[in-house]
Amino acid sequence: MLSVRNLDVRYGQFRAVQDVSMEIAQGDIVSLIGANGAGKSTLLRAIAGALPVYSGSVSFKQQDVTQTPSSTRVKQGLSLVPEGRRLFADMTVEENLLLGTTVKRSGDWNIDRIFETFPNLVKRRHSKTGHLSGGEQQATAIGRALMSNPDLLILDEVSLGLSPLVVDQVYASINSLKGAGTTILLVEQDLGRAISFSQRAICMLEGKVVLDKPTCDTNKEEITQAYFGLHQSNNQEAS
Amino acid sequence: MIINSLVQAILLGGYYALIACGLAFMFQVMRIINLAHGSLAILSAYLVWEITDALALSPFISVLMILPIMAIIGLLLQRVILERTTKGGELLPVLTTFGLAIVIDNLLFQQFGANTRSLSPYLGDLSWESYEIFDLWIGKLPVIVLITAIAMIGGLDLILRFTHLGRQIRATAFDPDTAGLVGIDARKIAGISAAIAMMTVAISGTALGLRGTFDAYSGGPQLLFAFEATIIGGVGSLWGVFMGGIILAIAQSIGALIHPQGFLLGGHLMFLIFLFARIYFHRDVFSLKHWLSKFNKEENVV
Amino acid sequence: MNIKRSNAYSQVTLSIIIALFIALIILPSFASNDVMERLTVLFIYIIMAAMWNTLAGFGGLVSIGQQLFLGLGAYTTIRITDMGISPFIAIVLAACLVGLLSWPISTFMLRLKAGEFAIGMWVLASIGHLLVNLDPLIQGETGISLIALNQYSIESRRLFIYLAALLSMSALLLGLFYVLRSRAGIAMQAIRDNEEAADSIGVDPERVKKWFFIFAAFGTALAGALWLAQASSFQPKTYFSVQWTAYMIFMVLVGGLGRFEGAILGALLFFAVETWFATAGVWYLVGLGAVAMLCSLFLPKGIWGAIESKLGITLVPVGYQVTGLTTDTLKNK
Repeated sequence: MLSVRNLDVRYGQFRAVQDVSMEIAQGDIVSLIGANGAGKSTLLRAIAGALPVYSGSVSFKQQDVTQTPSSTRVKQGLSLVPEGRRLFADMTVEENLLLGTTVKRSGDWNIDRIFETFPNLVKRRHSKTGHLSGGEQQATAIGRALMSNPDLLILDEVSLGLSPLVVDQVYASINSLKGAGTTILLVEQDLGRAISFSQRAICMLEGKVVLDKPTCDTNKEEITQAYFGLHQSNNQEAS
Repeated sequence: MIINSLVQAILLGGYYALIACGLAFMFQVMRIINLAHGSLAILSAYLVWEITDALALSPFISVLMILPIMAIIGLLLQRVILERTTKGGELLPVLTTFGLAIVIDNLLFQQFGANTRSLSPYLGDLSWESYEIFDLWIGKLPVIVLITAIAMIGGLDLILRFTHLGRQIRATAFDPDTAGLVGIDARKIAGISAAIAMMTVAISGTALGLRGTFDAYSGGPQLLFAFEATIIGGVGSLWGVFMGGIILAIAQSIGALIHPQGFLLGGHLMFLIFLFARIYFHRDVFSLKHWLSKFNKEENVV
Repeated sequence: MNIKRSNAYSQVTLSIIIALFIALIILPSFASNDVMERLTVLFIYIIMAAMWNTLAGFGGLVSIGQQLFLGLGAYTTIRITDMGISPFIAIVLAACLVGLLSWPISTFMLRLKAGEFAIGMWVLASIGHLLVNLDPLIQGETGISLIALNQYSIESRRLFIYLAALLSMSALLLGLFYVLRSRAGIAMQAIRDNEEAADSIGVDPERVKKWFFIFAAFGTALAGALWLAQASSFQPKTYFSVQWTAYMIFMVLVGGLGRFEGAILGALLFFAVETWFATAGVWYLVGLGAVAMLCSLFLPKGIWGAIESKLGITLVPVGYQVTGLTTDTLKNK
């Protein structure tokens, strides 16, 4: 489904993502793990086409999309819920959701189903998203991405700034996507949740992938070591 | 007497609102102040004049014919010039659009010479007909221009608020990167926005030609009027721009009452006052957008 | 990472410049009147280009209203000579006064961004024009002559104006050279080039911009006053015309925005183009606008910028060098 090869992304002379490769198959649920500044968001934004790639390639559904604008990638079925939600704050929840239909992809998701999935949004339908709580904003952002009926949904920092209860709600709703066959790549800081929720964990450190294993073959300890760069040499061999 | 001046000023303000709304629209959506704005309005005025003269049509029909022409010019402007310059930082759009203004002005001068033109001779009786209300004589033509301004700004406002295209334009204006992530083709939206802006320019150029006279170098002053109305109205709200146009015209009339040469100075000084207020007393405190939204909130509370 | 002044001092350049200056000083003793008058015009063009370049190329401020300072420089000269002061003292005084006036203007206008600043300056120029028109001495658009010049014979007048323009140009260019080589100047060039270390220099760019604005206002006013001396009559419409700024933009864009040598090269080119094509009338202006537009689209560093990057030549070393560049310092940012 998604294939990233030797990807390099730079800010000026700073290499935020260095030589990253990964394969994600149809139906995979993958967690991307790493400390702040490890390059996770940069990688995801580059995959979504919001950042120019310095070298390497990204292909989606066997098509090279390295130079494709982000809007076209959405049309092909690749949607990113960006870090910090990035809602259109002066527009209402409904308007934000409707924008998700811009690419007109057919599928199960429509505005009614979004409100069924996120019942907390119903009474906020006509409120400006700038005035919503964190959980409501996150739900709107996910809903907006779902409205394009993506084949691959990328979620950056789903639970950032949300209370544990709301995080549970958000995960419950993402869980319902699993059944629908949507491929999911998400960033999660909570290792326990990452391991239990996904089938695979990819850990990044200083712009490089230092661990890429099925969650059943790894444990919290190994991921923690990769996260902090302990036993780095071993992990690099492993990846 | 004063009431008469006020009424005339409001009618003139309708024209300023017309010319400003395209400038403000482009600034809102694409973050570009198009320095060729006034020159493009004069270009459309000449185009309308040519068609009217050659085909013996009413200017109101001719303007319909140049709307698609100006829309295409807008699209080309975006694709050929603006798109390239915006990548090079915020200075290049200013320089290139200024260069374009010089080219347009002088080409018009080359083509049409130094004589001033007007569209009013092609209107027949309408050019001088007036309504008489409470001893005031109000020209029909300025009223038509004012109504056009209200209709155009209202129409744009409706499009922006209630259509899918409008939502896409607002999203792109708010955050172009995220708009792309939602699947909005920012390039297409910028092209459409430029086309819409140029259609408003076509209408405002025609309005200028109907109300008065123009020559090849009239573009500069029109740009300044449009810019002043936009700043007075508070960048970012089309109805604010409408009020900005009217305030600008009122200030000019007051200036003219004080001193025979005070017409333009009055407008400029009002512009400076609003600019000063915006800079030194908090952002937009003095702008109408601020006050209008405050009133709206109060209404909601009640 | 550090940013240092470039020390690639070219002895050859220095000696050529000194030789050229001496040659221009003694030129009047054998040059024809026509040559001297044309050279005076050229010097004024170089001043205008260098001043606009200071503002836009180094300060990042595109103004469409520099005709404000040009017109005010000329007007103030008229006003001062009217009080019985010698025209050549009046020229310098006028430039100083306009420079002083530009200080309050700068605190206000520099709060505006890009396009808003550009047209805002144009509005100010229009205000300046209208206010000058209100002065009864000027007699509206009819204008007035710089009568005070009549106290000199035509020959000595021509010589004085030539020397005044030459000295003004040399002094302003020298001043600009030192400003650009100062810490603030280096910082502004680094900021212009988006060098990541620019903010490590510890210079407040807003303050430097202000000084650039005032310097440009002073220099442009001086150009306006010299133009008045050379043309000897003042009509508000001519001096406050946006055409002047169009010329400045053409010279700088073609020569090289933000390149010290660029403005001079641009002025020379403009001077040549004007000499040969001005008779083409309007087409000449269309050409100027089109070339400026094409340059900003396809050659944003102008001809000099292209020469610099292709051949690696720097005649006047106002640039800087980035040293100590390591990935560590970048990562820490």
